[in-house]
Amino acid sequence: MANASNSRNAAFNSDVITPSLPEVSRGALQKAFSFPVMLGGILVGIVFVSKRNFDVDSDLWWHLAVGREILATHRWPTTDSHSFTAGGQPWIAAEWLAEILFSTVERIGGLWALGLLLVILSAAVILSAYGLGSLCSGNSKAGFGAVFALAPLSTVVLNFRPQMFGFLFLLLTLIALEHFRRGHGKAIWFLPPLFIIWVNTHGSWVIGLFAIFVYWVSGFKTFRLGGMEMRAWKPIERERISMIILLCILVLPITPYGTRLAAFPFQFINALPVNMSSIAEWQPMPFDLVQAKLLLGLVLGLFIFQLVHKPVWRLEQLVLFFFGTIMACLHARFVLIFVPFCVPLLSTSLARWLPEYRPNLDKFFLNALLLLAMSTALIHYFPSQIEIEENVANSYPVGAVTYLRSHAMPRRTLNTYGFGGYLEWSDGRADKVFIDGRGELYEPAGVFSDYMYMTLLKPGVLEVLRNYQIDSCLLNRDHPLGVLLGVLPEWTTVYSDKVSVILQRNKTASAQLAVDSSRAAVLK
Amino acid sequence: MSLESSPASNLKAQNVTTPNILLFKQVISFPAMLGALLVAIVFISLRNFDVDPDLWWHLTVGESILRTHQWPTKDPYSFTVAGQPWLAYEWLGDVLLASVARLGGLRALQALFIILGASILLALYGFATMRAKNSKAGFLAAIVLVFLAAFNFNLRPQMLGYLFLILTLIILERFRQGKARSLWLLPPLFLLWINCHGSWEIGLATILLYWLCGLHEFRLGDVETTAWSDKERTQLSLTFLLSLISILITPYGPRLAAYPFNVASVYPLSMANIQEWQPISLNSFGAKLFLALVLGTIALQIVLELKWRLHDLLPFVGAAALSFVHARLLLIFVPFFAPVLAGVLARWVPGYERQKDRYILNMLIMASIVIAMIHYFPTHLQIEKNVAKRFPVDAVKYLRAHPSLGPVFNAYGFGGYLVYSLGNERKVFIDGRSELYEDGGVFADYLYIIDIRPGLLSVLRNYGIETCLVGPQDPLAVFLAAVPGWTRVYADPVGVIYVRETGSDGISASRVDRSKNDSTIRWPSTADRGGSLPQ
Repeated sequence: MANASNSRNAAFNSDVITPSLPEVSRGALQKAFSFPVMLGGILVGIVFVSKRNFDVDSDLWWHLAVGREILATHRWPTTDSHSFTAGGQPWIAAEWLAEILFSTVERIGGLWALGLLLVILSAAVILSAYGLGSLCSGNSKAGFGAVFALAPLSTVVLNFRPQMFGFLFLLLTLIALEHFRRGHGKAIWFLPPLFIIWVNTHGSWVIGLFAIFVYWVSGFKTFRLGGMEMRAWKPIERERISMIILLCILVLPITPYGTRLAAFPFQFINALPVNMSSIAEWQPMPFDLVQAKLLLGLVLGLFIFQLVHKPVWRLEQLVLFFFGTIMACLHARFVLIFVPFCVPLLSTSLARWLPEYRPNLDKFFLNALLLLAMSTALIHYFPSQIEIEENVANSYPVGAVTYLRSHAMPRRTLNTYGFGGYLEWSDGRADKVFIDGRGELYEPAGVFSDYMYMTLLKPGVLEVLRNYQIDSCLLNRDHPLGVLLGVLPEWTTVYSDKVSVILQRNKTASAQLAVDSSRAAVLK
Repeated sequence: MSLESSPASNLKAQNVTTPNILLFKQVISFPAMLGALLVAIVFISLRNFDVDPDLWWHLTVGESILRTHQWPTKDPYSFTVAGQPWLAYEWLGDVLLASVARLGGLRALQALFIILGASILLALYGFATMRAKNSKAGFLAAIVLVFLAAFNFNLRPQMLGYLFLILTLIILERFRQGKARSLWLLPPLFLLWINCHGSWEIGLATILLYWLCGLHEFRLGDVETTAWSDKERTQLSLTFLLSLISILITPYGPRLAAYPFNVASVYPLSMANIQEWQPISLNSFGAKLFLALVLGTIALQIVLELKWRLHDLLPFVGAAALSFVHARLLLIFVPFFAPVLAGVLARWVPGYERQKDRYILNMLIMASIVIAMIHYFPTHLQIEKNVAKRFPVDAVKYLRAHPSLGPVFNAYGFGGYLVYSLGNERKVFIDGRSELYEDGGVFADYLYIIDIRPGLLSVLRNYGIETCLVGPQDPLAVFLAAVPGWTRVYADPVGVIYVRETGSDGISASRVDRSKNDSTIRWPSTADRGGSLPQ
């Protein structure tokens, strides 16, 4: 206790007395083992527990395949080269920088290194959220409480895709803006370089730019209305933030594709109705899920808090919170923006009940022990390459791909949407896929609606299969289309495991299909 | 001077005529005209007889009770759970529907549908007006909420539950405003309610909440409560007790009171698969409006610092949360939110001023609405056409003409209509009484079949199914069309019938007359599906 008191006194007098080197080292050490750092360690532990199974999104695989292609060819693709249905159609690798990073990490250490990157990225996101909450509330315990409460939502969207970078960059943007709001003018100069990386990594830079714009507008005037207030920028601040917005916009064309990456998110929103209505992450929030109920509870809880305690919020905080809530309710994937926009309000609310951190009461040794224990557990429980491969095999058609490698299969295979990326990545197939997670490519080509038509088992499904000259199908086990084909005499199940099933059109049926196709070509 | 012009006789005449004139003026006042506009909106939205599939089995149950004077205790309509214990939980609603159908057939049911919808909206308007003390604000609130209320406007006993809930809120509000007598209407209301629909528990919970919120007086931030006087508390307690006792007065004794609790806790499959129990899907306009209203209220709270009474706040928060989780519970959000919305709108909308009212104009508008409703009221033929667009009317005729067809597997949404139209001629596989079928394990098997799970043909065989009646776009129809051993014998845009080629009674599908039916269905083209196929 005496030591802590001394160090506090030293800190108070730091403008008078220059501390000696050992004192600086001790201060740094105490910071490293402080209670707020230990809370950060707990958050990393939570992320590790939720992510250690390498339960990755199916899109990861085609991102890796694209990254591998760019690294191998040193060219950025402009047409599709992975499918036989949309092959040669215009397509750009809008998230190429993240794809290169993923692919590079995979080159260095395989799936194990990718598992490590997933944990590191997730930890960076959660720690940034913690930093934002602590900054907004001025209370690290409240920041921790807010992020802890939001963890079930955060971990849902922390799936291994370039959008993790978008999540991280949005949090960093909010931290920079919040520092700037508090008078730290230099903080926002970090934004233009961040936007150069962001636009080349993920389309969520639009939300970042929107957040800066909202901060800018919310500082036009000073006024208060009920529990909402606006605080006017000083002239120098306004100039600076205006300049930053301009610079952030100006850096957007700095991509291998010029301005096309900047236009990509807008095209995606307007032009892909089938994707929007069919892909789960674009669906409205399913409020029967625990995470959705948590979101609902937080929103209604903040309403009750407002009624009882009547706090005052800054306009930008409110606008971003409501924007994030609406977007998350309309499209489940936008939980990604609800979390960062909710953290400031939630942490500030919690700070009402949680006492501030007091370094003089801190037990640094205990914190160090806990951090050490967590680090040891992290290393000990980090999955091996084999465990990761086993986890992958539980969700992806690893066995089916092995079967395809060892058997000469017909060339045109209908694959499930979620398997497409894995087929491209697994390298065992010289053949191209029917479809993968790049909805923006397959919808304009009409392939996506046909795929939905087939998997929903709509009338005429067999004709659609015939029109694509499909002679084999790689589907999820128990897929309705697989069940249908499995009872048809012209199809045979040639491979089946707990994840997938391969069905093949019989030779006579295939021959008939070839005859039909050539007859159709002649007629045409 | 004649006798009529004497001051005494004038006074007498005034005494007689003034109340009549006042009443007439009220009938053709601006607020009444606004009510007529709401009725017109209901008429427009409900005139197509777009009814829930459950209506049909409710009608059949009601008709059975009217005919036999007995309340069913086991299932008489299906071959899958025949004889299993089952109670007609909404028997009074069923009897009302069947009585109306007896009186005037589908047209009378159409009229009842509109009358019930209009009563709900008018009650909502009245409640919102009463709370906001502003009929224009009440009208606007009702207009906004009609999009949400319409979620539950389907001709089923739940519409009665909806109406009773709003009436309960009106009675409680009148009691809050010092009109104690109206409270005594609640026990008889609950007597009707328990026999009509399971939503009585929400009404009872509301009375309990009102009672609790008046136990102490306090203010916390923008939330406040006002304590009941001793007399009020006694009256409310007594009413609650009487209402509680009245829910036991049913032909089934206390078993009806237990029913809503069973549904919520014991039927996970129904909860997970029946559309109205699903979470609200924010794709539709109504659902987006709901989201906007909830978030808009929170935003207004921050800016305007609205004052809430605890018995308004708790139902608002609870109903909003429940409606997000189960779309059908918008039924409770609408009446709880109406006074809040009207109260907010009343800040900006000027109140009604009687001296500025234009009675003639109001009367003309109201007369036009009445004439238009009479003129546009659908004919029996139009209603039948609308029914035939959604229910397998012609497929039923086909089944009737082919009594030798074996047991029929039917789509869930067709079951009620089959029960109604085929009666004892042919029992169904399933209908809208999901709690009965879930108990019997049939609902799980039904889902297994329609989801096209492996081995579905074995499941069909285990039930001895020889015939399937499903929608033409249903995956099962596509499946049966492709698999060997099944033949399509009937098809129209609403329903298709498939028959196992060698039926249990030896009937062969090839012996069934298919000549009239095969060409009626139009399969969607590639263009319809929005895709283009490679050549």
